[in-house]
Amino acid sequence: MAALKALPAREQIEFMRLKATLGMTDGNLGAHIVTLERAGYLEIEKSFVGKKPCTRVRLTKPGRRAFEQYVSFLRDIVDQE
Amino acid sequence: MAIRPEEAAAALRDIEHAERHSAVMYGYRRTSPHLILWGAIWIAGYGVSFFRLDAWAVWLGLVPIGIGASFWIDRGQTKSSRRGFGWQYATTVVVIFLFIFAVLSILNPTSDAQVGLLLRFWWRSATRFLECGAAQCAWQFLDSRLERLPPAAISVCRNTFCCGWRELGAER
Repeated sequence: MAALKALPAREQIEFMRLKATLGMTDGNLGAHIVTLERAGYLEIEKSFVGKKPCTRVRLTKPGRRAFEQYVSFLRDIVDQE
Repeated sequence: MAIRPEEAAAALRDIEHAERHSAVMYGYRRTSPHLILWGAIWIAGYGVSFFRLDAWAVWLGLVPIGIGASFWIDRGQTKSSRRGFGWQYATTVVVIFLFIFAVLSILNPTSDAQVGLLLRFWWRSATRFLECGAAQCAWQFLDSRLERLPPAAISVCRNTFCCGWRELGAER
């Protein structure tokens, strides 16, 4: 989600680019994306470029808010120390 | 499950690294085709100007071609995103072009040192305006090279900038 939050609002990123940016495997990233989509934090758009399937991922507003809350939570823990 | 402060700090570091890396990659992806395009245009324009000192008019053809090609590139990039730059981009390009024209009309460089300063001024203005990671990385690379610019390269810039714009000013 950190990688998606760095993009401008409503910006999509292709699955392969996200995989290259994060250095994850197809299965690992796919599982994360599906879980986050079920929670409503990500939006997945599947299309075709010619005959090749293309999956694009976008961070939703609830997802952006949830991520910011998570970061704030972590900072509070660090600050309390 | 309680999170220890060390784990929270490590998670924050990972988040910061991922965000920074993603932002830089996004900047490269959006700007690199435009930088390559305008680099090719500059090579063509300065190449012609190097052999023909009165060939400043070639820029009047190259710049519109570059602007049109930038639009075409941006349209291809907007297919993968929900927003494109459209008229905002066009306005920005026109403003930049008018800015460069105005600067050269008022501060027409007449020496090698002035040409070098002008190039650095434009590049710094562009990077400050764009404020993208790719431009700043490229500037740091270029900055270290501009200081070692050989006199021959400065002379090329002088011939292409000074002679062409001086003639334009004389005609006006």
